[in-house]
Amino acid sequence: MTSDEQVVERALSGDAEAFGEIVHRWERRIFALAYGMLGREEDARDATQETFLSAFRNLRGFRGEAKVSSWLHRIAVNQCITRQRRAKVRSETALEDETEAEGSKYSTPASKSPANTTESRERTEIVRRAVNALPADLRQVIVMKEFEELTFQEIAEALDLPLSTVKSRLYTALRQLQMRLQNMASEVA
Amino acid sequence: MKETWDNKIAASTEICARAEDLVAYLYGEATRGDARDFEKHMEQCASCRTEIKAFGNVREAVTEWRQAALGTIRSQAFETNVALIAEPKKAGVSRKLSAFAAIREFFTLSPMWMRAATAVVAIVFCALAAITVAYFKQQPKTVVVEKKTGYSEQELNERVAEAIKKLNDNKAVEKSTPSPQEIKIAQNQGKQNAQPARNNPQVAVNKVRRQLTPHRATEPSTELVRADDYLPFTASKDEEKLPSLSDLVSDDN
Repeated sequence: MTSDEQVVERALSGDAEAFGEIVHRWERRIFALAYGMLGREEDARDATQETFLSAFRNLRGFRGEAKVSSWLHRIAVNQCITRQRRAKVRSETALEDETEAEGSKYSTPASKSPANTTESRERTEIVRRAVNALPADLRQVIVMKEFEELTFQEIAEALDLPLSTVKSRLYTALRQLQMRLQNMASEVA
Repeated sequence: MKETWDNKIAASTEICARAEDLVAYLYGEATRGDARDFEKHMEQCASCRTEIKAFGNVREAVTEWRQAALGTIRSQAFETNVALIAEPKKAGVSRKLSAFAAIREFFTLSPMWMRAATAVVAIVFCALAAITVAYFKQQPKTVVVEKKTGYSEQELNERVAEAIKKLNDNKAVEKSTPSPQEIKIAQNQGKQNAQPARNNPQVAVNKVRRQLTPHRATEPSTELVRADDYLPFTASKDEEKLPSLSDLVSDDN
């Protein structure tokens, strides 16, 4: 299997199919990142689309100094941040309004009873709100770690941050999430 | 709000100096030696023990959310995604590119033969345009300027005929009432010479010609009608009676 860098080389030399291969390789992970960052499927899909479009337009700007994955993640994170700024994150209120619509999209395993399903939905919804309430710089790292399972080094490269900063941000993000989850769970109860 | 959260978090537990090691251990990215070292540290640090447990629960909750959200998202969304990027026109998406960027992209993605063909077509087009411009520049421009200096002979004759007709009409009206000048002339020269001068067509032609012909600077205004226009020269009875010069000379002598 050819590496991402080789595929990009092919795309640069005029192979129209090559970039499609890059998209196929990374779309799910980029979507996961966008979803974790934005919290809405539609927004995540748009952000993913924009990420690959931006990457395609700036293909010549890719000099191979960083990994293709890091490059794509950086573009994706910037896309998400731009979207959040534009929409002013649509505030937590907007997210709350969409809770039921989003929740209804989740699958219902046949093995789970209706009571279990409802409880699971509530729990995941609390997590979603808690993650979305995090500051953007903390949300980036937690999503990249939990949704994409990137290593600290990969996150550091993608965000152009020192390794220690990534770790400290991740630690702070986990602490804040823990507190928010506790708080939200007690509110629901 | 953020301050409240920070305060709450700070107050909840003390932050251990080995927070970064805790994170590395939690995500399994610590080396074997670092992991053993941190496990020893946790035996003595209650804060780290509490946090490892709490963070583990957080991770479980996030994983559950991720699986619930991403596990059900249809894969066809991604297929559309590729189509939109690889074939934006087919998918109905218009990408905004500058003209230069579009040309560059075209030349980047096109095969070699298409690039060459485009270049040849462009050169031929430019050459044809240059030839056309040169051809039109060489053509002399013929500008017809119509200069009208006065009446042509035909126009003049027409005008004269028209004027004569008008004058004759007027004369027919005025025939019954002779002017005081005519009366005076008639008194002086006899009745037989008064009427013909007015009705002589040659006189009228001369008058009209004089009116239509541009005046010369040296000539006096034609408003003053000369007597010979109206009166053909005929020696009066008094003139006939005048002695000739030879007679006068002979008398003196």
